[in-house]
Amino acid sequence: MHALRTIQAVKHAPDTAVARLFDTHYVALVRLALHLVDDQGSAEDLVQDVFLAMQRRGEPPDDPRRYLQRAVVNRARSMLRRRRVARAFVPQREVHAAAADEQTLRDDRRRIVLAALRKLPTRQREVAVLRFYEDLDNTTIAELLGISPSAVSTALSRALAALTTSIEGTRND
Amino acid sequence: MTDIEPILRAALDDRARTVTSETLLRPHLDSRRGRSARWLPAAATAAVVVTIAVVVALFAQSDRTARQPPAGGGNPGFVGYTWTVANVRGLGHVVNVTPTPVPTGIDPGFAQSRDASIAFDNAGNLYGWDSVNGFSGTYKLTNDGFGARKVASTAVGYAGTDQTIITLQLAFARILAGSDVGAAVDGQTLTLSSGPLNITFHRAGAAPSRTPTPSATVDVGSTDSAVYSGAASAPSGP
Repeated sequence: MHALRTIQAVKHAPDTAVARLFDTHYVALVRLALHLVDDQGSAEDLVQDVFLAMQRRGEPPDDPRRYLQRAVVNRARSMLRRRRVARAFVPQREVHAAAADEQTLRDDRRRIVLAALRKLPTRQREVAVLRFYEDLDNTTIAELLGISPSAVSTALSRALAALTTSIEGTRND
Repeated sequence: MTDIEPILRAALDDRARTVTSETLLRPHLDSRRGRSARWLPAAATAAVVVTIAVVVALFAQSDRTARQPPAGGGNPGFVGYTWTVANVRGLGHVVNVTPTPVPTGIDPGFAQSRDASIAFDNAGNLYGWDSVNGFSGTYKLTNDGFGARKVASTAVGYAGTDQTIITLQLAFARILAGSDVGAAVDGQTLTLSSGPLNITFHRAGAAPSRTPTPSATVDVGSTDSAVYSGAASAPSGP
């Protein structure tokens, strides 16, 4: 009943419904995407695509925020995969922190931890960002990523271990 | 050992703050559409808002109806019985569980006798099997159902892709982490609800009179090549 009526609402005024979701969630989703793909331009492209796809499909999300978060994570994963393929054929400079990071992050440790976050395997990075930026619990992350809660715990433990090593390794250098 | 969590949180928050409505490169959705924006009349907006409000109201009403306290006062109807899972709804898709799949790595003979289930005994204990792990704990009755407490679980990791098994694990994790789980009994059927999640159970018989001794952290190995050493209890909030 709930889903059906939501579908009807979206179909009757798709632009308005999506536009309202855009106004509500766009900035937050760009921030999430930024943590997953590292530069704001790509993050905004990605989130724009999510909303355009949502509009095209008339997707009736029961929980728009979770739906949009899941879509952003999935598209970020695709974008990172394409980047890896591109790098395999075209030598490129390593993508370092965006200029905004350099201006904003005066704390070396924060810069180091962000650099280490970029080097994590995709799943570990997603879990770390969803846990420590979005403040989602393990069960919710598992639902969002379509994996088991124990897999989330494992990925999180490994991510934290890798990040700790990166900080301590730098300190010892 | 460096406490990495606060550093990571601060770093992520710092970077997130660089994105504001002023720094957005594409602040409008229609800037990439290749066509001008269509402004719907304010009346249409109002109609959508009203429609959504009605939907929410109807949903809340149906939710309240589904969570009516069981008749009869004292015993709410689900206590004293073992219940096996029939289906799970509200986690993205409906999963029918007949019978419970057996993850590779688990002795089929053992698993065949362990359909995903939950039991509530008369002494306030609950226990069961989520298709990969056993759990036990206590429960406290509420107006709508019960709240689970002191839940311990075995800690077998599952890294397979069987959607039914994953859904069962997620569903039980949510139920066991819930402080107020809705419980409605209709004949031989029990429905547990928490937010959008609904698990339907069939009555399988009386609950054993004595709760199996729980072990707070019993790591009994792994399935589907998973290696898991996380917390044994049901996942909880941050």
